[in-house]
Amino acid sequence: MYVILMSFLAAGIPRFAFTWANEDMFAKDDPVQISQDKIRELFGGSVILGMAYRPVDGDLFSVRSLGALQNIHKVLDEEATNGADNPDNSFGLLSEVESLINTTYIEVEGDSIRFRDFIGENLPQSPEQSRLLQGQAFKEPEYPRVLFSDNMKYGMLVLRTNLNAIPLVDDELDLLEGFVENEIEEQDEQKPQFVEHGLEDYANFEKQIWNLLSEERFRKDLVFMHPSWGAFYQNDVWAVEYQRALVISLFLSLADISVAGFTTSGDLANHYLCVKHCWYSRTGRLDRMAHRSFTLHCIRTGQCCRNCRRGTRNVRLPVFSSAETASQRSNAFCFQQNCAGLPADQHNYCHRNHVSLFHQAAGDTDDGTAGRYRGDLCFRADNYFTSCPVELVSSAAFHNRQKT
Amino acid sequence: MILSFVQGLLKGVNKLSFNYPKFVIFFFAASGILLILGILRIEIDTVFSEYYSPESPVRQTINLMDEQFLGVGNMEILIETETEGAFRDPEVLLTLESVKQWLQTVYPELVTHNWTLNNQLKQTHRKLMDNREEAYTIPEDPDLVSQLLVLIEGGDYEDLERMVSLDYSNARMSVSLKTIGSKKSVELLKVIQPEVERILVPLKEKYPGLKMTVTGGIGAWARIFDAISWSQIRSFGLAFLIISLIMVGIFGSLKLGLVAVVPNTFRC
Repeated sequence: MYVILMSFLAAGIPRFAFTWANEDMFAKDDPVQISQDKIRELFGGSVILGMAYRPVDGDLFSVRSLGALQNIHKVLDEEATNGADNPDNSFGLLSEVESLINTTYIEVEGDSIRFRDFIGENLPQSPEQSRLLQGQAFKEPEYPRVLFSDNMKYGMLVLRTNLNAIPLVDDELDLLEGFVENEIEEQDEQKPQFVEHGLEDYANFEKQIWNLLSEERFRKDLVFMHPSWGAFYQNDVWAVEYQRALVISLFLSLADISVAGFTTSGDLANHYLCVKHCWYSRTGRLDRMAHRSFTLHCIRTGQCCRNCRRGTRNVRLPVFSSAETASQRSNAFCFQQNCAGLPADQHNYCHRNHVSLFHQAAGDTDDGTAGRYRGDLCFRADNYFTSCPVELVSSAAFHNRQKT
Repeated sequence: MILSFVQGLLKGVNKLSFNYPKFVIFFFAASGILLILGILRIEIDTVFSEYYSPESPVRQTINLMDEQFLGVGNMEILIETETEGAFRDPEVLLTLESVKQWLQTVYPELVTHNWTLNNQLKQTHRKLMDNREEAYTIPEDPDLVSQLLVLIEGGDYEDLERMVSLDYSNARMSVSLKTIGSKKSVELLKVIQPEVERILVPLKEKYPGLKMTVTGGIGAWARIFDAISWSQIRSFGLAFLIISLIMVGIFGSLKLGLVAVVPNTFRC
């Protein structure tokens, strides 16, 4: 049963998925989700990937660093254009790239104001120009800590995406019709619908960006840090590790249960012998608790039976070693009273309340009572259980004694 | 070997239970009281970055972002007015500034930056005023604000439309934060939501449809915290029920099964 249950659970492991995406965690009517949707609807996609980089020459504003950054812009723009019509290309999710190259710089000349790219196509031609640009960048309140670090050692490439913000075109809405019953109909008809993206989409996007920016052609000038969100790291590393851990824990659990099952059944077989109907018919049956859930009117080895009603007395079974148990188990469990050693005044009482327990095996002599319990561990109590010591003997020994 | 070891262990435990029942009961009762006292002090605080080892490249970047950039945390405040042009009103824009200042005053160690349409407005204003630092402000003259917005619309509309809706009736405030855990997120949410509402109250007369919602990363964290708590309660309840049923099944007695459940709750 356990194996079947575990197999059933294990069958679900390949479907195990890891997610941090709000859309996967929250229901559509969750207040957090509603407000997120509203922001997306009003202001567009809000998923941004920030890629910090370190210039190899140590100067963020050098010709080399800014030239490399400019080149990255061009490559990313091309990739985004190429991926726009290909759903399998994650670059298609890239909507805008921002860095020192193209961040907005407001320039006032006389009465005219101009919004232009900070660097654009005009790379510095000399170290002096680089320092001039650096000075200008420092004076812009929206640049420090946004586009370059406090210590000027790192720069930032901001990649804006349209994840979850690509409007569904009419054809796609038509396709959804009928499948998403009433869901869309119930919503405001004016409310735009968006293509749903999950963590996997983001992870793939992040991975493609990371792979591209790690290429030697860029790495020789700008070394990019690993993405901070690490979505693909989660998918590729965590999910795999979780799956491994799950499989291992299932095996360990199985092994644990098996060991526990062996030990427990052995233990119960040795020590927990339960009596059923011992007080009523005076003929009862012993069984191992691991196999049957009898009511606990038990004789526990080394302990006293306290629940045997109707005047039954405690019966003390000897605790026997595992070595004895093994041999005795093969010969079935039997015990009989042994009044030897008791004070003389208790002998009669002991014999009068004779208790015998034996395994009714094929070929054994039926004593007239045990026949009804063929194959079980049976005992017969002529009267009540008593406090007489009980000796555990093998079936063969018991019957040999009977013969003699 | 393992089998005999476990068997020996079980026998030892068995012996201990039978030979010293009072001690065992006392020990578990005392442990139980300690555990109950401990339960009262349980806190759930999920810090995303701490899922990664300190050597992990992801963790290193998160640290870099927190120390040298704006951090990786985020909070969004969505402000809706139902009134077209509301965010051209200097009074509304100055109230946004008040919210920003309050956040930076109360949480200087957490809030690293604040993004609203005011940022562009102030910068444009400053540039027009000979780039004087003291001009990095929201003008109080509605006409000047409108003129500035017209300039921005013509020059840098993309950045503007990320912060305010086309008809200027809704706007957002995007707050950059250093890495915070779910516990802090819940605390922030509990404090920020009512306080921002309080700051916005004076605008309600002019804009009765005004409402605000705190969302973004912080809202998600708070929601996740709530979800985790309830999930744990449900899991615990289900485990308790299943264990109870198993115990009742094993012992074949409702009474004894329920009694046996008690020590099992210690493990939970």
